[in-house]
Amino acid sequence: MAEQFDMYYVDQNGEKVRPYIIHRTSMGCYERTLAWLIEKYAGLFPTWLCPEQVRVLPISEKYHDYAKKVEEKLRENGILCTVDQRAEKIGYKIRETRLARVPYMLVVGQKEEEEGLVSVRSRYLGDEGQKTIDSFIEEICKEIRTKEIRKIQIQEEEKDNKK
Amino acid sequence: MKILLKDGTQKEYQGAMTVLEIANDISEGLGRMATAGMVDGEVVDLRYVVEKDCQLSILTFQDKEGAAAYRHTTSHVLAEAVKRLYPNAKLAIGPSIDDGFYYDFDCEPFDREALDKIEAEMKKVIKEGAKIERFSLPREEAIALMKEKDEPYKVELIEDLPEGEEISFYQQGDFVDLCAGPHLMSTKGIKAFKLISSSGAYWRGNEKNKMLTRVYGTAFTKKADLDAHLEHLEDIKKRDHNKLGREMELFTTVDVIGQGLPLLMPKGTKMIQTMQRWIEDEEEKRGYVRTKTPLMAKSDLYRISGHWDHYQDSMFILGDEEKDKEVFALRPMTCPFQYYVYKASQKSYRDLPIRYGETSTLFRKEESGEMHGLTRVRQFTISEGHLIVRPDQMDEEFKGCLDLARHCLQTLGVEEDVTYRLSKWDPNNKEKYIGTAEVWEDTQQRIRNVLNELGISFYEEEGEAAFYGPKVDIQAKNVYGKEDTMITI
Repeated sequence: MAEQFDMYYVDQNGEKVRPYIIHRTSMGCYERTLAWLIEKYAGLFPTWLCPEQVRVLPISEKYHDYAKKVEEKLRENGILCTVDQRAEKIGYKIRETRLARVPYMLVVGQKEEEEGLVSVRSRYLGDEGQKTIDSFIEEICKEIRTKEIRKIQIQEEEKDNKK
Repeated sequence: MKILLKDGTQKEYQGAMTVLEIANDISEGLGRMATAGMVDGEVVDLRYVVEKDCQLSILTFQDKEGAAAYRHTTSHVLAEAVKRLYPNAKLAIGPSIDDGFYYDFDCEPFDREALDKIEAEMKKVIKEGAKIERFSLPREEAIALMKEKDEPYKVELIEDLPEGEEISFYQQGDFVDLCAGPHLMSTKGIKAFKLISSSGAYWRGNEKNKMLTRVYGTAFTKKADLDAHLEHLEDIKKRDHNKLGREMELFTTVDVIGQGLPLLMPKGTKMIQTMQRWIEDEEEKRGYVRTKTPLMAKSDLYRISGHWDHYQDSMFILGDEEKDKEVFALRPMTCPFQYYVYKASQKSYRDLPIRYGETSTLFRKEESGEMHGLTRVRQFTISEGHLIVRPDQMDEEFKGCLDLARHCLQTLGVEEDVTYRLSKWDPNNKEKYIGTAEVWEDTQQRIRNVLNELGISFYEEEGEAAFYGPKVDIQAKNVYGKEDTMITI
């Protein structure tokens, strides 16, 4: 190709020399890679690749404001996050979030609001307990930044997906 | 005659014997399990008569070729059942495939209910357990037989067989099929089978021909193995990106927009954007500079690059050479565009290497029958790039490219799923390529060295290079076991 396009550089002696050309891709075609990842992970992508990384689930309408506050804080930190504000039972919301293959859900109610906490449920470990908003943000940001592929250590969700 | 067996033992027999007789002589159990034989590396029927010294393996379902014979016989059982239920159906072809078999019929499409009915009839055929017999006929008689049975596709197949080739048939009960074999001795041998699906398929895979009805099935020697396989198929179906990707609202397709032109929806777009940003940053860290060049160019450019002569059929051309002053084509690659970026100013040896990267949208005019989900598309975006290097930098830079590709695969968690292929030119078909034999061989050797140095295991294949140079293709298998090239360097 260097000949066809008359490409050259000037060497130490002032002579014109043909360069070598390496034609390459880092990761190939994005569409095809996406297809590959869907099949590889059966839609359960590593957190850093998920289009929705966290869903905040208020247990009733009373806690919508707090849920929105949590969402806002997460978004400020670059985390892809939504709130489920529908008037549905919490069990139903949790199940739907799993089916949507969102890796983290943050359940918030009275105790969480009073103490500035979130109750973390993940696809990886299931119930991860209560955490402060800041410590959750710190952990998930690290996971995203390092592109960690967390191991799924519970079976529960698989079964739920099959139902 | 002396027969050398797979395990190294030797048997001696006085006169000619069939493969099955030898299997039975070794052990009755083996005789029962045998599905075919292999004589001096060639697959043969159980009926094959061994007359002279040779190496012989008795094949069972555990062997790839043995499983193929077993499933091929199941496909004949399928054909017989279909002929019984649909006497007007015409037989086309019915081979075994990797995980099963199929048979093509010229008849109306089958729904699940019809497949269930056919399965029931197949069970009857198996229960009847007709002996399967092989015979061959001279060409004229073979054609006459198939004409008499009103099987036009078989007639066509026989007519296309090269002169002098044996024309063999297999018969079970009243059912006769043109076939090279090998086959089991009786339909009784089939223990567990399932018809999986039915779809359309063109006669001889050519879309100008008639659309036939293809029935896919599989067969095993144990019901438990069949069940495990069916469960595996279910899991695969659930993962199929063309299904799951739509369910998860990552992409969609629309008829009026066109085949092979998927629309990425917000979630799919977000994922691709995440990957794109990551790749662009990663390239920047490794000293790449970015370009943004046009999606189309005049034919003049492709004439210089050679695409106009070598690749025109795969390009979307805008305009008509006869009528228009200027004809454009949508680009199928980024190469020449980045070359002109390089040529915009004179470069000295001190400027090299230069590493150009571009998130580049490309167009390929694939046949409409080949479109599939996100993997066979007419427009796609890749992390394209060219490194312009001095000869003394070549090996180091190539290594850098491989290292980057590997890093990407590792980060995505998919490195264990790929194989590396060194795609070489075909030295017997030199006119397909540009450049001299010397340069080709030298470059291939350099790439080989780099791969070895990085400890990457790879295989080599001739005739897979691009017309302008050899390459390393990083291939991955999809859930159906079909191989796709993911990364090319």
